[in-house]
Order: sequence, then C-alpha cells, then structure tokens
Amino acid sequence: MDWTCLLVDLSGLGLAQTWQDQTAGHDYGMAISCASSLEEAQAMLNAGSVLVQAFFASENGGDLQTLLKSFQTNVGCISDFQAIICDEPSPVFMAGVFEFGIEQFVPMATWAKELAVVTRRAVELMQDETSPEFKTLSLSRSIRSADQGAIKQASDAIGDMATYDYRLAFAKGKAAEASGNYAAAADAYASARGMNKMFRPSASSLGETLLVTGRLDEALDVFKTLEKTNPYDVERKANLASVYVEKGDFEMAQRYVDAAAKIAPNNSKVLEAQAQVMLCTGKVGEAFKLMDGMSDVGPFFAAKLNELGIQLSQSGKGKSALALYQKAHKIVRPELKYKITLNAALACRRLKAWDMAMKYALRCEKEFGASFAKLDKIKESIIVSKKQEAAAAAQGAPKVPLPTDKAG
Amino acid sequence: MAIISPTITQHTIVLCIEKRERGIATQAMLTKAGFRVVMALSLYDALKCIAQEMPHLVISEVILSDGTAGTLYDRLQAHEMLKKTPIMAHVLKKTKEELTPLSTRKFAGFFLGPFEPRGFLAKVYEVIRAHAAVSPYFLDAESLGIKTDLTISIDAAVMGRAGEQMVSRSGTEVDPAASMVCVPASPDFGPAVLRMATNLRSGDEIFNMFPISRIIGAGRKWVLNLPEFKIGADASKGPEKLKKVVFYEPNEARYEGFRELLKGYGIDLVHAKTLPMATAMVKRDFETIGCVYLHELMNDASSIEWKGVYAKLPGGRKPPLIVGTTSQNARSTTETRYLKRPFGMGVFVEMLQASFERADDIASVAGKNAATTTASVSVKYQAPAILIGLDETGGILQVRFPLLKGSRLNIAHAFLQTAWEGRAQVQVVASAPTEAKPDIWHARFEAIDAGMSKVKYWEKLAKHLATLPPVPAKPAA
Repeated sequence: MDWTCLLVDLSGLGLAQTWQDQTAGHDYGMAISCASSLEEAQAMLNAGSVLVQAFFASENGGDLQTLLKSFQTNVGCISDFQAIICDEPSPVFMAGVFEFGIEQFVPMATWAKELAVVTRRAVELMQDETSPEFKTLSLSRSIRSADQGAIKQASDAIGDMATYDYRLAFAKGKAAEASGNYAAAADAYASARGMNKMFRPSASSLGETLLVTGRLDEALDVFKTLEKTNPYDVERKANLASVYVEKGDFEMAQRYVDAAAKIAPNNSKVLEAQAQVMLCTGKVGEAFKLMDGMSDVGPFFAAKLNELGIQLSQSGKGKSALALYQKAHKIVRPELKYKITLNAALACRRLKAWDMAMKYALRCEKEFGASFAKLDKIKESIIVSKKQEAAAAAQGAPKVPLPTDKAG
Repeated sequence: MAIISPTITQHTIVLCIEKRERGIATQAMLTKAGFRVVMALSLYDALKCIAQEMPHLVISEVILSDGTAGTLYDRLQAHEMLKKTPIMAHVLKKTKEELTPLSTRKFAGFFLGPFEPRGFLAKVYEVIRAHAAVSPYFLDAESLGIKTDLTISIDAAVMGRAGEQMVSRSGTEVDPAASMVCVPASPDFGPAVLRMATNLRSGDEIFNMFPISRIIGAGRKWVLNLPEFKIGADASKGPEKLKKVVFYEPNEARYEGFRELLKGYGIDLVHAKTLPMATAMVKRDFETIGCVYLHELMNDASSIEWKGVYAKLPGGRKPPLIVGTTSQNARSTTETRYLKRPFGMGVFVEMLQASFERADDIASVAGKNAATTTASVSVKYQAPAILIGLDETGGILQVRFPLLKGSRLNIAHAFLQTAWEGRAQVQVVASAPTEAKPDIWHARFEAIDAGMSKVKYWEKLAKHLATLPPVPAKPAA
C-alpha cells in the first residue's frame, strides 16, 4: 500500500507554497501531501491512503477537532501517527488534543526532520501485520465500511491482544459499538481505561456507551471526572447535557448546552444535545431544523431518532416518520445507517407501501453487509402481506388487519 | 558504512615536543577543545606513550631532543599495530634541518610556523576528520564479515509498584526516550515494552520507574499484580503535601492554564515568575515541595545561582527537578530530568507524578529489613542493536533510542563473546543521534575495564579477527 503523510495547515502559514522545499532531502518512507482547508484534508482522509497526519495549528478549533475525529474513524485512535507542529502550545490546546490521545508536539524549526521519524516508524509498523497499529487500522477500515462480516473478522484477528494493549481494547470497543453490542463496548472501553488511565478516548467513549445503555449515574461519574482535568471540552459538556436530559434534569442540561454552545455553537455534538433538549421539551420542529448542521451522529442520538420515528409511525404519522428517517440517514455514522433503514422499511410496511418497504429492506441488507434473521422475517412478512392484499383485492374482501401492525 | 556521529568519540592525542613550556599552551587548548592529551618530551617517551595509549593522532615537532618526527614515523611504520596512527608534523621553522626528515614520508598533516591557536586547532580537526574520525583502528563490522545484528540487555529486578509506576532495581540508568522489552527470566511471565523511564538514585543503588499506563505487551498482566509499596504513609510526608510543584514559567497566562488543568490531576502549582523567585522558594521550603519545574535553564547568572542552591540541598530530600528544553541532546539524569519542549499533556502529568516518588523511600522499601514485601522478578531489558564496528577499546552500536553514558549493557553476539573470552558486559561512554536521522542513535562502548591494557585487548581481538573467513568483494555497480 502506498501511504501518505498529510500535512494540514490550519495556521495560515502558507505552507502550500513552501512544504516541498522544507521536506526535500528527508526520508519519509511515504508520500507527503499538503492540505490547506478542512474539505481538502477530509477528502484525503476519506480516500484511504493517509497513515500519518500532522497539523500546523496553535489552537483547538472546530476544523482541527473534525479532522482528528475523521482520522480516528479512517485510521484509528493511533496517537503515534499524529503530530501537532507548533512552538509553545497553550495548556488548553494541549488538553484539547489530549482528548484524542495526542501528545506529540513538534517544534516549527525542526518539523521536517522530526516528522520523518514519525512517518518512518509508521511505515515499519504497517509492515508488521501482527503489530497493534496494523490491527487497529484494519479494524477501523472495517468499521468505516460498515460491513458487519468484515468488522467481526478484524475484531477476531485481535485475539487476546486486547487484554494487554489499551489501544486494541479501545478498537475492540469501537467494533462492538458498530455491531450494536453496547454492553461489550462498555466492557472494552472500561478495560482500555483500566490499562491506561491517561488514555482519554477510552474514558470518553466509556461515558458515551454508558449513556447509550442507560447507566446514567456511571456515565455522569465518568464525564465529571474527565471534566475536572479539562473543563474546556465542548463535546463532554454536550454529553453531560445529554445525561441530564435523560435524568430529567432539564435545567442542568440547558446549563451545559449553553456552556458548550458558548465555546463552539456549530459543533455537531452540541447541536445533538440542543436537539435532544428540544425533543424532550416538545419543540420537535426546531429540533428537526438543527439536524441539518449535524454530522457523524453517534449511537445515542441515533437511537433517540429511531425512537421518535417509531413513535410517529405507530401514531399513524408514517410519512413524518419517513421524513425523519431520511434526514437521520444522512447524518448518522455509516455503521448506524442500517438501523435507520430497517425502521424506514417497517414504517413503509405499516403504510402498506410494500415495494418501498422491500427497497428499504434490501438497502438495509446492503448496509449491514449481510442478511440477518430479523431482516429476513421482515422481508418475508412484506412479501406475504403484499400477496394477501393482492388476493383480498381480487376477491373484493374486506381488509384483514396484519399480524405485524404493532411493530415499529 | 554508516556515517558515524563525530561527537561520540573522545580522541586521544599524543603531543611530542622538545620543550615542555612550548607544549603547555597547546595541551591546554586541545584539552579545552575536548581532546585527551598526553605529552611526550622525547622520541623515546613518545614511542612509549603511543604503544600504551594507541592515540588517534600524534602531533610532533620535527626536531625532538633524541630524534626527529621522521624517525618517529619510521618506527611507527615498522610496527604492525601502530602503523595506522596519523602523525601531524609541526614545522616551527622552514629550515633544511627541519624539512629534511619530512621528505619521502607520508605524514597525515603539517602545521607550518610558530603555534597559532585558531589555525592549529583547525588543522587538528581536519587531520582527525580525514584519518581518524572514529579511530585509526576502527574496523567496520560489515567489511569484517561479522554479524551486525545483536541484542543489548540490562539486568534488573522488578520490585513492585509505587502508585502508577513499576519500580525496578538495576545497575544502570535508562533514558526516558528509550523503549525496551522487559523479558522476565521466568517463562511464566510474559514480556512487556517499557517506556518513559525515570531514574532514582539512593546511595549506590539505581532504581528505574516506568509508568504502568505506558507499558504494553503480554507482560502487563503480571505487572498489574505486583505488590504495592506503601510510600508516603508517614504523616509528615503525606501524599497531599508532596504534590506541590514550584512552577517557573515566565508567561503568566501559561501558568494559569496549567494550574487550572493540573488541579484536576491533584497537582498544586506554585508560580515562580522568575528563576530567582523559584530559587528562593526552593531554598526556603524544599522539604514541602514535591517537585520543581523550570521552563528553561540557561547559563546566565540566575541559572548559576539556582544550580548552586539546588546542589547544596540535602541529597535524599531535595525535590526532583524537571527542566524544559528545546535541545535534542539534553539527557536526563537522576538529578535533572529534561522534558523536551513542546511536550504533550500526558507526558507532562506522568513526569510530574513520577517525580513525587523519592529515591530514599523506595530504597527503604527495597531494603533487606523493610516491612513491605517486594516481588523481585528477575528481568532483562532488551533491545535490538546493530554493530557498526570495533576499535581499540570497544566499538560503536546503532540503536533506536539514546543510551546514557555509563550504562552497563550485556551484549549477545556470538563472535564478540568468543573474542572477549566469555565476557559480555560493556559500558557506554557516549551516544549521539545521527545527523540525518534523529531517531537513530550511535553509542560508543568500551569493552575494557579501567586499568586494562588497550594494546593487549586489541592484540587479542586482532587474533580472533584474523580467524574470520575473507569477505568476498562486492561486485562493482
């Protein structure tokens, strides 16, 4: 595989003009590419050849956060493959990137030389298929593809290494999360956190998973502990807001939402928390509007949207439910899309739009990577119901209620 | 052959002069420039010194009390072992008497005219670079046909855990940047990769601490089950008191930022806006301070004052010192732990946390009559290395991390163990990163103990080298 080291200039240094001169004469072991905007960098990351990412940045802006998340999704939570190039980072900036496990800072004067050390090491690790970094990358790729078969295969390949390597325990948690097994994900994150208390991503993900599984007090405990060591993290404030919403303490929730919105009003997670507060306080229309600004929505809010869709469908507002699912499908993480599609298929079935229901069922199968028992049953019921309806219409008989009408 | 960092060899120069007073200034200047200088006042003296010292360069005045530089040249040429020694002739006057002995002989260099420090030193550097960058005796391992891959190891005994640190006892300090595999002697325990070492010294004992959170590998399982040391239970040194850090940082905003964030980790920062303020604080309250962080330590008056005050603090009770630096080559010791700036938050927090452990406390736990049980798991810290070459005292290794001066290493290498007659331990005398790749380090080691004869060592080694089969010549490109 031809790997790339992506240089991202978020400091406005005009690196696009000078990086080639600065990197000349150094042995990186991989290609070097430079991006000066979020879109450019995002496209490179999504293309799949980026192995090392280095930022020229001195503050913890939204673009940096987005790209760090994107790297985590596309490559994995491998902090050794990422570096920040700046001279005297502020403590708040240091704490901000530490939330992603990043501790590697490189001074401006020697960046070209020192980055070569990072890239050469990364290439070496990728040549060793037994290395934790290689396994992490494989697993991240499979999660990104959302193919459940591939996720299982990559997760199994980790073997017992997850019992002694916190990075692999964390990656295994992500795989369990992508397969919808949140209890196993929580266990994996807790194990990663136990192995390395300083590895912040495991603690943050543990809190989020506990929130999804409804273990609210434990989630609150995790988030509050993290908040003490970095009170500037926007997403944690949003998570704390979500916990308080779930606990029914809307006042505290709003307080955290306001605090988060003050720092980063357009952050997707902040919008999620805001929308969640709105949904719980009956402002559904406003919550819908906020969804336009969201991206990479995680399992917690995705579950909330699924719940709301089912409620709408069951109360006879099938078309509204479908509109919600359509919107939700655009903003959730790839591995969560199949659930939205499955619910859309069920909503169509309730509307007796058989062809549309079957179309959604087939899309669900494609997104999941394979068929599964529940989906097979739904497909069968759509075919049977369609046949029954056609037969009844031919005989002019009154409509018989379907056995699956109570389902979402 | 790999390009060897020139800074790792301290070159020995034999200075042959007719009159002592002429040599004193030269000797002082060369010593100041980092050379080891041995003075010889006659040809006889010079030949004796050269045979003992195996110098990297001989600087000789042409006319000596009992001969000439030409005679010296001829005598060295006649000696199989010493004939590679470069000789730089110092021609004081361009007279026939001085020039005749130089003709028909291949001297490594000449310096003409009376002694002039700058030009003379430049010439010495030039000759050393050209003839003895490492040593005139240096033999490239690859061209000798001996295996270049080897394993270096350090013997240690893992004792237990102190807070979030694994504590071991070894005879050597481990560089914080080193990454080594800890291989237990017992097959029941798995190996683990150790990083971010902190070294503590109590008397002659050296303790290495490694943050458990950074340990990876199957060995984590047994590390987590190590007995915990109860350190700091003494009320007078409660753990809360030990977490006070004197924080010298000229930028007040940065200090405020760190203060707020580190509070969450249970670390209390006390601001010293200037170095004299930090000096005064430490002088006054050193017993209640857990650690001192200095943003930088220069060579100015306030830094000198700091060093003086810190040096006078009682050994076992002085707070550990962390110094921020932008230098690539600053190497931590038990006294001063260097932290390369810019650094990451986790590294900083873990370094501060490790600094709250005291060498004397650990030593008392590890002592024979201590109440606490220690694990005493025999281990080896191992790392792969490449043998670059051999010389008159040892040789040069290539490793992926810095090795500290004075480290005692075991070398597993079939040929060397035979040549060294079963001996496997060497001592690191210097190490430096290579110019082109800062992640590749060259370490110079000595395989001879103090007082041992270089000549005998080299003769024995040469005998073994002679038994090696000839290396087939590489085909021309």
